[in-house]
Amino acid sequence: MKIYHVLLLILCTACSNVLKLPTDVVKSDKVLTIVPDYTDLTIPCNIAPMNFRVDGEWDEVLLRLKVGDEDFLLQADKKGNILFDAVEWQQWLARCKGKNLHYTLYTLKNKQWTQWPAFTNNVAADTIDPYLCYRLIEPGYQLYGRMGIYQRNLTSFEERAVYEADFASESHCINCHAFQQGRTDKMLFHVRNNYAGTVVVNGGAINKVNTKADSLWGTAVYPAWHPTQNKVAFSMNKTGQLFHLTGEEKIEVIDEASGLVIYDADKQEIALIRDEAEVLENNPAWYPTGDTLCYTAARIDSQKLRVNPTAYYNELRYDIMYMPYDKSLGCFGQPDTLFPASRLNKSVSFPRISPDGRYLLFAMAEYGQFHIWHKTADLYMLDFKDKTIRPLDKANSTDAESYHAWSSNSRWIVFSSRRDDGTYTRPYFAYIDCEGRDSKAFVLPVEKPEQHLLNCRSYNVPELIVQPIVHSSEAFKKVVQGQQAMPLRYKP
Amino acid sequence: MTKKRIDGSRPKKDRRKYVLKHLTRVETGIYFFCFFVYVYCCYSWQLYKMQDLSLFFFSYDDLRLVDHSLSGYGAYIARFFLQFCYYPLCGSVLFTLLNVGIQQAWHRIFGASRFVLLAYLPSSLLLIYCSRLRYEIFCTIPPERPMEIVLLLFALSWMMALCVGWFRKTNKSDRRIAFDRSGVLKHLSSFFLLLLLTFAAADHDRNVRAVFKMQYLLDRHDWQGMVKTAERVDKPNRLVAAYRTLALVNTGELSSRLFDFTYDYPELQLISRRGETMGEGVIYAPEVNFHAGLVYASLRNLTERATVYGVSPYTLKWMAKCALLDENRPVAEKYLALLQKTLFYAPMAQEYRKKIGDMKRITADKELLSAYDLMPIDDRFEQDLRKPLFIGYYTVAANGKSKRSLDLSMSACLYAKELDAFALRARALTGEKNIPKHFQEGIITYSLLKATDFDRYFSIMPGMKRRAETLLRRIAELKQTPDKGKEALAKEYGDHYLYYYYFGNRSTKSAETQSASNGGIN
Repeated sequence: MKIYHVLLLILCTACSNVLKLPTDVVKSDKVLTIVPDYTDLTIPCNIAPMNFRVDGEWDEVLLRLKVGDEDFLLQADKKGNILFDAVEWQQWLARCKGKNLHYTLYTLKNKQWTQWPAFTNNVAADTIDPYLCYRLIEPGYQLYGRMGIYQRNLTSFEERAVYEADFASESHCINCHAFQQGRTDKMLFHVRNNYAGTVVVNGGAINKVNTKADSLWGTAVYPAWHPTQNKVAFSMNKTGQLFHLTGEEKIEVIDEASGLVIYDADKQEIALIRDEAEVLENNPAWYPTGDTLCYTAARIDSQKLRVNPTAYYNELRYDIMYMPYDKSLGCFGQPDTLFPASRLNKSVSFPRISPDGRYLLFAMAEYGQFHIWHKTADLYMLDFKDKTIRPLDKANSTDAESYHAWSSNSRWIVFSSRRDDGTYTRPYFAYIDCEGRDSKAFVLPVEKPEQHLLNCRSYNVPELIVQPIVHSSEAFKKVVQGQQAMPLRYKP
Repeated sequence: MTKKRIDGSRPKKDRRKYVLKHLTRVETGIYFFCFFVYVYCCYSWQLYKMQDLSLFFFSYDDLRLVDHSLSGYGAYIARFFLQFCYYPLCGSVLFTLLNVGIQQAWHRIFGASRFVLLAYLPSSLLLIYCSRLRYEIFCTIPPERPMEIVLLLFALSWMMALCVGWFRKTNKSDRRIAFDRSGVLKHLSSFFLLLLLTFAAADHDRNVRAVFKMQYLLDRHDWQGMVKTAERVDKPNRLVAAYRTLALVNTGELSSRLFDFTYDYPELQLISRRGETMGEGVIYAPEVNFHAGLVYASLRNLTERATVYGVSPYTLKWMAKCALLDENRPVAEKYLALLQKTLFYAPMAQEYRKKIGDMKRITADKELLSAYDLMPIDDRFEQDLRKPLFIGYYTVAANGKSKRSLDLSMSACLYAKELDAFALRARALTGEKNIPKHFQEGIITYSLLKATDFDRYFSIMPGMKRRAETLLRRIAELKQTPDKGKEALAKEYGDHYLYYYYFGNRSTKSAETQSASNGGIN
């Protein structure tokens, strides 16, 4: 007899846990804040569950999710977190390709249910590249200790360290990871200070090279892999920093000198592309055809800049330049101006051309080139088809937007933004439709919605990649910490 | 519970065993007392600082992120114990208890207290060694490591004690701790030996201990306590002077007491966990910059530390204060949300959370108001104002929000020996009756050195000019032997600005300044 009692109890308990849509509800026309803001977005059909937290203190929170013709009711946890089941989420996205997901939130407070205005997210049929590579570091200014380059699977929450500089090793900085067309069999990153060199993955081999050839005054900095050849264009920068005492901005990063070089990974040669005394060349980027190199350049009075950089920092304005490249001969033609931002009293940085060759995405602010520290920095897009330039109004925010990259299908962009708190950069994604229209940006989905709030490290240099990095962090560690940087031959 | 026989009578006590047992307790008690006094007097502030540098909060996520190795779990457990050092008394008791445990285990292993000193030594030497690690400003070794070592020692000692007991296979009564009659004497002599060893340590150690205490007092806003602690140090170093100055800023005595304090002037450099000196010449105490109103500079110092050593309650609480003054609500929320997860900083975080975005509440907090008053109005670059580095240095050329910032700026000018800049600001004091002592001395020094009658516009105390003239004459006489002159005049004129002007703050190293072109970027 006892067993039946137990079964009955279990059955009753189970029945009492079945979620029911509240009937006696008060409809509110106010906006209920959810963190992160995942409302009215266009999202990829292969993105990880976009968990969020409902702001405020509620006794209970329910989400009614409409997927096609089906309705699902989900209950938030005690903290107000709506956490989706990964498998179900992917099924819903697959079912809703090109359609909308409808969200309606219900909250219970003092035994009164409130229904909040519904919102929708459009599921784009276009997928996003499955991996994101970034560096995580506290937003320090000059020093480094614990930092790492990580790879995040965008279809799940899996994150893996590509390489980590930890407290146990000699202090070293790692930066500027770059890939050839989002492929990981051709990639590189720099190591500074101890173990200095550039780690280059060329097919199966990992090597460390010293890009500071005798005839060059600096080492390679910002990279751009040639789309088809085994070559990398780099900027070469003599960089310094200035620290504000008060005001909106906290830091200025300026170049006293800069130029462009090209590294041939097959021949282990490095050659100078441009290094004019009165011009600061920076941020190289290849056209997808590989026959044109795009970069930024600012005319300067080098004497003035060297003597008094603090008085001159806000007069530096960069234009977008381009120059033809002969792939068979490996030589460059004369440069020309693509976008003279300085004429508009603006300054650009990081031109990145979409893989389909139609758009040029860049960051623009009032002055300078390190726009991630400029609150006025926004993303703009040049359409090669109709020669128009316009800001990405929906994707931009009132804070700094800068380092950005395209997905391999040219439909998604990822960029760093300080919009959350003005201090910590987070990777944001936005959809660019076939007409070049942008959509509202959304932050990288995380397993627990409070993760971004509690994370005290910034995401730097987000790059979308089409495949995972196969080499283990131990393999990279072996090369970084155990291999001498191979000197490169200077090609005059 | 007292045992009773079946017939209800109590067993006859074994008198010898009873006395031995209680004497052993006395011996342990003495050991506890001696070690506790030693730890509390000499190292409780250090333990406080070490917990301040070590972040622990229990959550499933945190546990999941722990390095799944023996050392990873060891560090996690050590961080758990270290957090109790938030209260110096509690930290000292905990540390002592662990050491009593070690001593008891050794007692069981070796059978008697003949190794009494050895039982004291590991933890004491560890504490002495820790004071050399400069936790007051650096964090070259993770702060939980010393606690980890003590815990490991405790665990190993007891494992050994249990093993020894097992293999001896003696009956229970034979395994009883034997009382060594000379044990008490040995404990006391060991205790005094340790005290002697600690106090005989270099001046450096005394400075370090003073800084630890001042940092603790700073967190409790005990400004007078800070000044007293600084003035008790025989040969104070620059950091002691900096914290004293910070306290003077808050007591309002900066312009009358800044220069009656001489100190050594060693260079400070940030040191990596591997022990190498790092890029920036000086990473100054962020709280010192904060109290000079240099919130951005303080924030920068803190983020550099977080970058090099990781986030800790220390960085979080100061970054939260900076964010509050910078009116950066989300960032203040972030830091305070993290602090609120800790056991002991949660009340403070809760209190500060109420201030987010509420300028009235922020300015109602004396400490925050003090820094807010001194915040610069004009934007300049740190590089333009960097040399020399000390509290208020940057404000030499920057306008602050209140009259207090003018005082700080003038003190900074005097400190930096920028007499022209000082005189320019001193004009604001014309007609004032109670000009602070050092400002009067600064005005006279300017008049004497520039041979002007600048001082006649100010209300100067009678006799002050004559004293300065005498001092200047004597300095001229002793010019050939400056070191001798410094010593000869210290007693009589050590508190005078002119003395400071000639003999104080004369470091020759210039590594502190950094040009805009130096250093890379992250």
